[in-house]
Amino acid sequence: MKFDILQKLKEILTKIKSKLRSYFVSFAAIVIFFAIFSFGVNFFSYFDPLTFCYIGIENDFLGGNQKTVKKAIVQLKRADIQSYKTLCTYVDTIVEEHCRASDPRVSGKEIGTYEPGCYIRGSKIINLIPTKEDDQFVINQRSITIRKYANFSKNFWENRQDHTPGINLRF
Amino acid sequence: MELSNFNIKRSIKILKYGSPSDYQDFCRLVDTIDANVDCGGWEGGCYRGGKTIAVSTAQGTVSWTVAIIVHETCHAKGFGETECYAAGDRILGTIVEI
Repeated sequence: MKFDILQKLKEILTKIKSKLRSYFVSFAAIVIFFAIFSFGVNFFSYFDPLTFCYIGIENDFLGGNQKTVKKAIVQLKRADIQSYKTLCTYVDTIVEEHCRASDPRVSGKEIGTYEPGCYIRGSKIINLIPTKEDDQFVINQRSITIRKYANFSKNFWENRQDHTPGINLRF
Repeated sequence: MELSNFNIKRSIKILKYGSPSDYQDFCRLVDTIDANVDCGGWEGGCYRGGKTIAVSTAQGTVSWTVAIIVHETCHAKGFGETECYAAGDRILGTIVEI
């Protein structure tokens, strides 16, 4: 009788042990997958798994520097968490590209080309002027520019009025 | 031909939210976009007649692509180059916020 109880107890413990092992293996697999996924995504864009903040970065391979864009975002996160949250909500892409706010064939002048950045209304896209330089001044400048245009995007999406009848303007 | 139509699709979406009146004109007057480079090169477009325009902006910015779409839609309305360059310039001033 006593032997049976012990035998059953042993069976139950063995089952629990094997289940725990399978849970642990699954958990470890998920963690490894997530780590590889985060690393892969961060290679081409900015992804913060803790806040689920994803921002695509389209960099200028010849004249730009993706590293300083990422460093500027990290700096913004450390310095101003509210602006960082605004950035994560209202910006989905940062493009290293000159802004073009006019057609020089009409106005005779280029507007925005040498500005540090701009916001494209109707999107969640910010442009940053391309630069290969990698120093603290550039990172500060980019951080300030990103914060400014993230707020422009927030203002656009919070204040826009849907006045196109018959068209679904849900974003 | 452009490797991907992503730039054009994204530009249409920007037009939809950034300038709904231009988007309405575009939807009314254009039903086909030809993305071949034979007309616009790498940074331009053409009005093909009817409801077809050519847009080829693989080298252009997303805002420039919006300007090309508005420019060619303007031709579909029957206007000439002067008016349509002005339309492209206007949309750039509208959507690019500095």
